[in-house]
Amino acid sequence: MKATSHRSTITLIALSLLVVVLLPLNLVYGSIDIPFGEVVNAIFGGEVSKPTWETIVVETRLPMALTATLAGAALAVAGLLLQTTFDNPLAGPSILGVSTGSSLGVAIVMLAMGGVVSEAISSYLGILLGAIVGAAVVMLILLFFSSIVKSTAMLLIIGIMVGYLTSSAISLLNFFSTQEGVHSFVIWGMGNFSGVTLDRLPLFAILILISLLLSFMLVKPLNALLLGARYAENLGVSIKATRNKLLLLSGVLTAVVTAFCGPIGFLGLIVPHIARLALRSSNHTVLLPATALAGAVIALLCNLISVLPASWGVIPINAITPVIGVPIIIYIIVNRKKILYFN
Amino acid sequence: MLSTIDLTVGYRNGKRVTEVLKHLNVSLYAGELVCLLGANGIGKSTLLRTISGVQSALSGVVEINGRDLTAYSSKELSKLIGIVYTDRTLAGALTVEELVSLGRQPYTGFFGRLDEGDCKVVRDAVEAVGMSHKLHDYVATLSDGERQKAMIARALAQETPIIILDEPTAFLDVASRIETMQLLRQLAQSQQKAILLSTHDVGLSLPLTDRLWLVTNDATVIEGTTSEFVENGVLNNLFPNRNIAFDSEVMDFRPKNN
Repeated sequence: MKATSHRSTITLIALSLLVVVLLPLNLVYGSIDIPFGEVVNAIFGGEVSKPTWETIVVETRLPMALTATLAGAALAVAGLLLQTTFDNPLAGPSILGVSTGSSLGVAIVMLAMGGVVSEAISSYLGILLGAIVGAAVVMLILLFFSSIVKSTAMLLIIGIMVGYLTSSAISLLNFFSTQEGVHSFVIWGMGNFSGVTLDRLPLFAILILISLLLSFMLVKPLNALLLGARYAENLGVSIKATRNKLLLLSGVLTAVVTAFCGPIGFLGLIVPHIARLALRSSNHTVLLPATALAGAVIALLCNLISVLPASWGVIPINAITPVIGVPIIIYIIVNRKKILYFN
Repeated sequence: MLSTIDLTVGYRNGKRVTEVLKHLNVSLYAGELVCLLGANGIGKSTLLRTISGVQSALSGVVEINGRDLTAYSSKELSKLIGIVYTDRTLAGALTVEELVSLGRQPYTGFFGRLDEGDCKVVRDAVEAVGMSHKLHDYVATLSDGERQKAMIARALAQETPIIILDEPTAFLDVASRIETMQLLRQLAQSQQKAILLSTHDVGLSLPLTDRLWLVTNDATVIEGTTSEFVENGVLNNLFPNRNIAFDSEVMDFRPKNN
């Protein structure tokens, strides 16, 4: 498909510019005031007047900003893949229970370690594995029901129910766990982008960039799916294989982010809508990159807000995302008759 | 072009087999518009799904160009049969051009990029249904009739010799229904396509179709032209137990005069 108009080009450029502006802002602002010039020096290896400043910028703020960028893009794309797969604009990784599945996996691993989240590699690899297995189990359950239940709306409700069951399992685990275990799990569950240290960043980045790249390769079947599964099939798309690939990709994207940053709500649900409204198009050729960029923008914005109280500490990301997300969802539901992609 | 040999369609659910339509021997030729006529819920959609390869037959064979339908790959089928459903889609935020372009997917490469030739096919398809002036309009802004035309253009862009439409006139007003039927008939002739559509609308299909596939009350399908069916009384006997008779003057069913 051809790009719809200049509007897509302008939107993509504007979103890229926002990323370029927000990324350095995330390095400059934080709980400690560091002059702009010193931040620039720290990043580009120049002379920094205080060694602690260099540590803060390079080892805390830089990985945090990059994590937010990648995590935002990953969750947003995961949400878009799920919305197209389920033919339902209100699908998303947290609604379908995929994030909760990851959380359960992480909870099991964390509580098994007695809440001692050490710096050892085995510790975070264990958490990553737990998150991926948890997400995969929820995906398998959804896949199993998708062969029985034809209606995507009903499948969505099954996803929500699976999410509740998973939450109850997490509560039960917490009930039997040590205080330290519960504490570290609760902190993790509030969501933050500071969990990825500089040395873990490459693994995080590689996993997400590969998954994003693979998603871009599915643009053609994604566009066919806009017409519904039956039309897509007539266009020669293998529905089962495509659906499995899409669910697998969105599962991996969600699980990787959840393992490192906690279950972050709303991003996967709202960002695809923001991108569609901005583009006035659901053509995935432009929608997919726009969603990834918009996800990065929103996550960087959330991260910036989270450090605003400065000396008081950092606000959990999950306290911010609903404040941005809920008004957007309500706006979309109220105006759905006027919104192109609902009609 | 397309023919069925002792085809039985229906559903298999575990060991339970539900036969919907039995022992069908009907054909569809290039250049003709054929209406599959029958009451709601009688199995028209099941038959169309089987013929288009979406659902497998209980027994018998569907042949396209003398080759068994099941021997075609899904890729080959997508260049052979274009389908138009009445499903609502999430395509409102696509332009007519983008929607019709989706019909080129069986021909385009990995990322679905269109070359000059594809673009021309798309423009021609849109023009063939008389929607060129709406090429850059969003699908969401179209009327039901225009949307149906856009979906037909999408099937045309697929460049398949056979086009199958499931109740294409179901949600349209009278004017759009007649327009759609005339459009399809004209397309069948001018582009030498074999077009099959299902409908329960007798009054509309009889005067506008080339031939009929008629679902009878013993769960099979017979084929013929409208005048053949009127002459041999098939239409008049279509509802033997009900107080309905066929009136050949208005070409529609009426209550029996007692």
